[in-house]
Amino acid sequence: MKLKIAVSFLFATAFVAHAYSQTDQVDRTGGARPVRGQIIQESPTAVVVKLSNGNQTIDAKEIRRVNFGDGSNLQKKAISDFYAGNYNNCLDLLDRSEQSNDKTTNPFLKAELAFCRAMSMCREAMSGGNVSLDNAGQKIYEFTTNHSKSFHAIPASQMFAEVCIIKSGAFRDKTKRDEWLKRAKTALKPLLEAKNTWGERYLSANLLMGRIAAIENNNDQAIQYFTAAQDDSITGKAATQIKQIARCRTWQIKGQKGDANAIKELKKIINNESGDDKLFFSNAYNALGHCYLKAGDKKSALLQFLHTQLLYTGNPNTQSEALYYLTQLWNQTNHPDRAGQAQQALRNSYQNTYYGLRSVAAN
Amino acid sequence: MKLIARSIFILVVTITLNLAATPSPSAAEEKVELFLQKLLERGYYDTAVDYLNFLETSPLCPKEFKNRIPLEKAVILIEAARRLKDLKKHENYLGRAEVYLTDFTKTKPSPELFARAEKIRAQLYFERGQVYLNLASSDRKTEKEKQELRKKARSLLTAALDSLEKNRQFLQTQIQNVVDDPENRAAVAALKKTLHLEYVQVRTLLATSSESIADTFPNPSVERKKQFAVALKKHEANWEKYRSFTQGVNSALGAARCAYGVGDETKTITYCNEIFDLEDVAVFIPIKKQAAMIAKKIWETKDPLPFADVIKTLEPLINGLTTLEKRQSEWLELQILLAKAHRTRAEFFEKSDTKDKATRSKIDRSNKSAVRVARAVARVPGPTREIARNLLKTWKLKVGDVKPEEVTITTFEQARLRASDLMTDAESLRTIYLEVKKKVDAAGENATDELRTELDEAKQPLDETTNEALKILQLAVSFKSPETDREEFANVRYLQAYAYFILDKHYEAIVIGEHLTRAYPGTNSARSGASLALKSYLQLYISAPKDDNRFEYDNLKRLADDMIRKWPGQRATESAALIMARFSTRDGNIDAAEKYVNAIPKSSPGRVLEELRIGQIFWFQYLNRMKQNPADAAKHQALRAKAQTYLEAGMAQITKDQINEVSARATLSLTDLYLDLGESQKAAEQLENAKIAPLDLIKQKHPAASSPRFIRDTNKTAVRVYMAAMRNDQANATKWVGKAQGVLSSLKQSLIKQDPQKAEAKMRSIYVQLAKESRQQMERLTNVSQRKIFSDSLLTFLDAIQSETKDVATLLWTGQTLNALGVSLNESGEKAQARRLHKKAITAFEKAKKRGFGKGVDAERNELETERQIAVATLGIGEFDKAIEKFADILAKKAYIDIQMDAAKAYQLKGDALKSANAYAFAMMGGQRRKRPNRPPAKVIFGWNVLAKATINKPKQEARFYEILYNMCYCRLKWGQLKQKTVALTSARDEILKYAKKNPEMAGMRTKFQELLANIQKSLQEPVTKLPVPDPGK
Repeated sequence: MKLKIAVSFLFATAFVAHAYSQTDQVDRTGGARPVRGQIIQESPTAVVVKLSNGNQTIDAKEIRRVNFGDGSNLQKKAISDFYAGNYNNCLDLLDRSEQSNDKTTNPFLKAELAFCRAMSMCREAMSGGNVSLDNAGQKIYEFTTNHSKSFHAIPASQMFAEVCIIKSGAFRDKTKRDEWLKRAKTALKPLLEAKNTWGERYLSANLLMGRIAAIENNNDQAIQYFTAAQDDSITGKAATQIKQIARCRTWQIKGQKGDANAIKELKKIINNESGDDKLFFSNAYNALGHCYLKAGDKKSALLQFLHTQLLYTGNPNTQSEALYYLTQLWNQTNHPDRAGQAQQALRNSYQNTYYGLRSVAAN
Repeated sequence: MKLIARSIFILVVTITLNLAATPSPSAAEEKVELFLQKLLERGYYDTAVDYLNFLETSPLCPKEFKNRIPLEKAVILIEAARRLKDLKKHENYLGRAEVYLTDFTKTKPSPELFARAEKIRAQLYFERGQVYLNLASSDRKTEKEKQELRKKARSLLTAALDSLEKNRQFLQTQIQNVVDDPENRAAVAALKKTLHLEYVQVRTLLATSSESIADTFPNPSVERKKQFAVALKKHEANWEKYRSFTQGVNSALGAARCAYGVGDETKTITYCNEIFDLEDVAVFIPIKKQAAMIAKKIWETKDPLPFADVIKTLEPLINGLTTLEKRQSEWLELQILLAKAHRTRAEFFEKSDTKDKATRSKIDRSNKSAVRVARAVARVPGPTREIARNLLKTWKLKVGDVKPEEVTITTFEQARLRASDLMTDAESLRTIYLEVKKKVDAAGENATDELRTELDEAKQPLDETTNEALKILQLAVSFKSPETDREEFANVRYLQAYAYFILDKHYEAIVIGEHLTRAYPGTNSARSGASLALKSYLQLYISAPKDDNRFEYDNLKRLADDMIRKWPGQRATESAALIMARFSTRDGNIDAAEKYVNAIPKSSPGRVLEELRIGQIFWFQYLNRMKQNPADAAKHQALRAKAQTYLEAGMAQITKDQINEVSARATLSLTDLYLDLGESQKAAEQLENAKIAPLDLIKQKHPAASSPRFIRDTNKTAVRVYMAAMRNDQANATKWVGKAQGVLSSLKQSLIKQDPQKAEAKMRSIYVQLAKESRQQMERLTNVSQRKIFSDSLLTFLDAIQSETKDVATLLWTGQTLNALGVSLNESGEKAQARRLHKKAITAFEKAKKRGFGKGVDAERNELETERQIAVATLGIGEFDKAIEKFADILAKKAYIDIQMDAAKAYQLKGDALKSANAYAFAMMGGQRRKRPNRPPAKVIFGWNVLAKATINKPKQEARFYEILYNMCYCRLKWGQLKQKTVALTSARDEILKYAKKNPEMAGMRTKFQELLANIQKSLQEPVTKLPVPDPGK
């Protein structure tokens, strides 16, 4: 993947206007009524829909999805599959649509299709699907440059940052690794500046920045970012989850710095959390695993990472993190066969994760 | 067969009773009948009879019903009798029912009601006959009693038969007499049908009763066969005539049973086949099962098993069953037979050309079927499970290779059920694997290659099946939705944990097991998960290096404590408390051990051994403390009390299968404890007759009591028990003496068997210990008369031993014991009794001398010791000069310090007895000058002064020195008093004060020295001073 242009200037605030033909429908989050009309303008923060009685501006973060009046059936189906999480199907349909010479002059639809493709490729690559991480990264990067005024620009930018972080795992050489981390930071910059418009993205960006700082062994900065990711002023279900994860990762870093309370605090967080939030629990147990590792208690660390592997599956990042450390811990506790199995699982199923690449790079 | 006949009879009669209802009862009658029916349904038989009694006099009762009341009462009593277990009551109820029936028939009822009454009478006789027949099959009855009971049963069943025959004839006449009514043809047809149906039923009952009569003859016997032949004819005729009736099918079954009874296998199978060929409908399944059970008896006698017939018959039958039916015991038996048939088929083909592809395929298919069926049976708890497991084990087939039919799993429930089945298979395979592993472990390095291969072969299918189950379980997890049942999902998680446990992936089992306790509290799986996690920690602990097992131990303890706190008294805590109790006892942490033992549910069999274990720890602690600090006996009694509580609690609950080295040792400890408490009767009971008694275990040659050490300790304890019993149960002293002698003899034998070289030395040390203990026992008695009685018993015992024995060591022991007791009695002023004992001691020693001490290593020592003991006894008798002479004779040869002390003491005792200042002087200065070869004559008895110099400032001799010092000062006091020499008294006083300052403890003799000092100071007319106080810091 070649990146020549920095992404910081991509997010111009001016709206893009366009002539329209069919009726579009904007589905909104939080149970708000869909808005039917024609999309006439969009920016990274909003979409303007022309209604019969005037125009309505809808915040980008409130948009669940847009059903375009334009487009072929294949394109519509591809978009539907994307939002249903069927990324492979989406890519297949998009390919078929291109082969059928489905053309559109609607720039909003064009952006939507490009977004669906780029994001689907990234998701597929990250979950070990049949897509190369480089290609996926290239696509999402292209989207951020070619559709910088799309209302998807912010999520796309976050995805690009995530790809860059993953990619940094592929290098043992610090200079190369830092290059990718720098790209990730650049991609996250607009998110860090969007606290008021994209609250949850702002929290996610801080979480990712914390992660980058942790990779760079910059613990103080990591704590700063993780603390920022717990901003009380931002609320909502997703925000709560991000904040809980950030809390765990904060204690992880503190534990790694030698704070004796870290293990106790993490256990408290875990015990107080009911339900089955796999993302939260996998982050929490991994954080606890790191603390035990720092404390030299390998067997306890092993148990924590095993929680993630056995009970809280589904997230490639936390799974690969657990498997990466399990590989080491099984070896250190005289179970080389189990270490081999963990490593094999890491490389086979999570090859396009930070830890998957790091595992390969280490050899 | 009897039970089947009975149930058919009841079924038919019940149907008949319902059908035989009199035509169109009135509304009032219906209400009465309904009420009665409801009372009977609830089992309120007495109330029903009361109600009928009430109706007899009630003007409201319809007249028609009133006439039937005796009949109804009879029906109720028969029904009630059926539920009674007490034979007398049963007979009483049926007797009363018969009276009611007779009363009823005397009222000349309508023909229909008469027929009904006769049928009920037949039922009554049949029921009574069956009861006696069942009693006759009891193993507790003698053959004669059995014959009587069978005879009684036969007579009743014959009466039933007669009654039914009357009924049959009556119905036949009734049918013949039905007249056609052109105006009411439908009613006439219905009546004919009812009568005909009833006729068929009565004929069926006739055949069944005949069959039951056959059972009243011994098996085998000619009469039995004959009667079966009679019944067979009846059944055959019924089957022939009434094939389309349900009762007809029962007749086919009856014919099969009777043909089997006659011994006609071909006919039996023919009738069974006719039943198997019946339509595949649910109503025939129980009948087909009975037929299959009859056929099974014949098939199983054939060698080889007629696999083709079995498979052809049973496979379609079993495949058509529901899961619930497949789990019924008789169907399970039939499945076992089917599995065997498949395997026999495979074996049949294995004998032919196994290179042929088609043959190999047949073998493979048959084996797979055999294993599949056997594994299905092995999944169901019950007696057949073990049979199935054994079959699987014997066949040694790679059962893991037998894949069930491929089923597409698309739901959580499908995945859960499939995984459960696989895990049940895995459990069965694990049992097999663990058995082989046990053998390999037992063989250790000597395990053969064959055994190791067997282990690998057992492990492979286990791992494969478990891994397969894990995959399906993961699939089940992936199907989880908000609608998924919480308990079932938790069960899936538990199975995952268990699968990991089987695969020895203990960390994984821990993660999931502990997760269950946190995420699914309140479910059964939470408790099971915790138990599994606990076992996994234990496994990790066992396999961890000893210097790196803190993690495992800490977590084990944390989880166990957590479980005990969460689920107190529940089964889940059992293993937690057991494990921790074991750890705590191992670590000597008795408080924790006690806490954990008390956390084990009282119903748990495991608690018993832990109670015994902890009881023993308390007991050993008590013994140690008593040894270290006997003065604080009162303080230590709490330990003994706890030991008693736990040992008794454990012993009260112990079962025979829990006898092991721990429990055997515990029962011995409890015996010792009773002895320590002075409860000799209880000790003797525990020793000999308790549920688990140490002597009894040795007698049984129980493996738990086979170690030489246990035998020796038990015998030692036994002697002590019998000696104590002599003291406490003086009326039976002779009995205890005999027992003690017997035990001593076997003790000696066991020591010789163990090591003939060391036997004598060991026996001697045991004798010394017993002598010491008997002295202690006597010193515990405060009452003079008790002491006398006890010493008399001991005297009898020891005298009997010494007069019988030819063994020198035994003779020496009896003498020593008698001497020790005599010394004790002398010290307490019981001189006459002491003299008796000393005299007997001298007899024993003289006898020993006469027998000689041989030329062994110990000969010289034994000889010397004998002379010394004779001198001690002589002294005890009061022959001071003779005793002093004897001591001198010994000392002239060897100047042992202990004997020197004895000799000095002899002078001192002479002084005490004769108030002789000279004797005290000799005690202090020594005496008995003797000639010595090439040397001038010298005193051979050194006296206290010289002995004090010889032992002073020698740490090892400290105790001796203070004893010598005491006696020296005592003699100075006495000599000074007699000679009125104050200087002797002051020197004695100064010596005491000097050495008390130096060592205030005075080697444990401080109290005695304090008393002596007081006496000296009183003689000096000085104020009594206290000895310097010991520094507690030192």
